[in-house]
Amino acid sequence: MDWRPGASRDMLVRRARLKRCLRETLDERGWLEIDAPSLIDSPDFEPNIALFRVTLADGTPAGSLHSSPELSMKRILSAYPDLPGLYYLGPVFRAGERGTRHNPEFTMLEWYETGADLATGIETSLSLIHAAGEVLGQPASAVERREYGPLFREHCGLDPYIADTESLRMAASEAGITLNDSSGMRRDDWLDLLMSTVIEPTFPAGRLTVVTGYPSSQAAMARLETREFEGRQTTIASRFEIYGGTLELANGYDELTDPAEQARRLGVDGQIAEAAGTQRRFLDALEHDGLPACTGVALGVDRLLMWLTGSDDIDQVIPFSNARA
Amino acid sequence: MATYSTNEFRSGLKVMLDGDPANIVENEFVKPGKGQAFSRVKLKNLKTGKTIERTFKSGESIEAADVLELEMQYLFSDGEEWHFMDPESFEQVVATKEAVGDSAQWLKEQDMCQITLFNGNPIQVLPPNHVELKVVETDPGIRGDTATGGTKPATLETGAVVKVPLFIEEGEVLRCDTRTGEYLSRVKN
Repeated sequence: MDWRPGASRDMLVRRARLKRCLRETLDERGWLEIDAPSLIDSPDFEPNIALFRVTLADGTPAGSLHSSPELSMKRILSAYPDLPGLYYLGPVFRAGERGTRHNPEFTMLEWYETGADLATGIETSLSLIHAAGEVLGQPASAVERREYGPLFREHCGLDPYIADTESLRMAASEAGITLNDSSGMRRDDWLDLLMSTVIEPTFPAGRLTVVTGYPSSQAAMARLETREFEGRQTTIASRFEIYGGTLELANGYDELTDPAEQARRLGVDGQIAEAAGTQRRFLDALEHDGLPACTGVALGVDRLLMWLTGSDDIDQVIPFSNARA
Repeated sequence: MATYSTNEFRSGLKVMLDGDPANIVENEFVKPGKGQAFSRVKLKNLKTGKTIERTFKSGESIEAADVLELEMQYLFSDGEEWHFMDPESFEQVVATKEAVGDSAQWLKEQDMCQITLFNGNPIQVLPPNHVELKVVETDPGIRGDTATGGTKPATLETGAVVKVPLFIEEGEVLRCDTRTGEYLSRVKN
C-alpha cells in the first residue's frame, strides 16, 4: 500500500497559502466565517447528488453528511439578516463522485453576500480567483463571458430553451457521443451531457469563462428572470458558472427567497409541513423570518488549486484523496 | 450473472458490450455540479481489437464478461491453428489465426504466453514481454562497429523482423521486447 500523500510538499505549501488567502480576502470585507454541521438530518433534496448516509454501529440511522452547507448557512442569514456576508470553508461530501476532477470528499468555499445581485456575485468570485492567483504566482487570466443559449446555438446548432429531447439526442449523436442506454434520459440530462462533453471542452485553457443564462429547469435554488433569446421572451435561471479552462470552478445564484416556490423546488409541493429535518428547519426559517436578498456562490477549492497549479488530477492537490484515505 | 455498475468501472475490467467481450481501457467520470453524472469510457473489443467510445449514465450496470486469463505454454502451429497447454492441468486449447493475430511472429515453442479465454475459447494471445530469438537472416556483420548508430533489418527464427545494430550476425540470439518490436540486447551463449 502506498502510504504517501498524493500532493507534493510544495503543493501542500501552496494549498495552505490558498486557504489563507481566501480567508484573508473575505475577512477584510468584514464577512464572518461560520461553521456548518457536516452531519445533518436531511433527506436527499438534489436529484443528481447522492448523500452519504450515516448509521450508528447498531444500524440506527443518524443522518447524512452534507453535500453543501447551503441550508445551514441560509438559516444563519435568516436569523441575522444584517450580516454583510458569511462564508464556510471546509469539507462537503458527495457519494460516488470520483474521477480525475472529482473526489467524494472535497473542500468547498461557499459564501453569501447580502444585498448583492448576480453581477456582484460574479465580480466577487473573479476578484477572489485573481487574488488567489496572485498569491500562488499565477498572473491574472483573461475572462470571457458567455451565454448558455448562444453556446448551444454555436456548438450544437440548437436552441437549448426549447429543443426537445429528440433533437438533443441527435445533436449528441452528431457530436460522436454514443450513449450505452438512452432510456430514462430526461431533457435536462441531455443538456448536461452536451454541456459537459461537447461545449465545455471547447473552453480555452488559460481562460476564465463565465457562463450565464441557464435554463429555468436548471435553476436549483436561483431566482428566475426573463430575457430575450432569438426574438422570444425566455425564462432563465439567475445563475452563473465560472470555468478555469475546462474545469468547473464556481457556481453562483441570485438566491430564491420565496418560501412557497422554494418548497416546491425541494419537492414538497408547497406543503412546508411535509418536509422533515434540516429541510423543514430551512423552510421554516424562510417562512418565518425570511431570507434577505443575497447572492450565494460555491467554489471548489481543490479545483481552484488544480487550475492555478496546472494539475490534471485532483489527487495531486489533496493530501489524501479517497483512493489513499 | 455478474454485473458491474459504473462506479466499479476501472481500466482492465472485462465487460460484455454489444454481445462481445471488451476491456475497459479508460474511464472518465463527468458531472456538472448540479447535473446528471456520466462515465465516458474507452473500451477495446477483445474479439476484433477495435477501440470503442461509449457514454454510460451514472449508476448504469453492464454484464461482466466471462473471461479468463491464463499463462499457457505454446506447443506448435500448423499455420492454421496454434496449440497451447496449461502446464498444471495439461489441458490444451487451440487458437485461430484471428485470435493469435500479430503475436504469431513472436511465438517460440515452449514459451509461456498469456491466453485470454472467452467461454473457454482463446480470443487473445500475448507473447512474453521479452523473448530470446535466434537471427536466421541478416546482412553480414561489420566487425568492431559497436559505436555508430546504424541499423539493419534482421529476420528472427519465428518470422519477426527487427531493426538491429550493424554488428549483429546470423546465428546470434537476441533479446527483444514484443510490445514495441524492438531489439534490446545480444544474449551471450
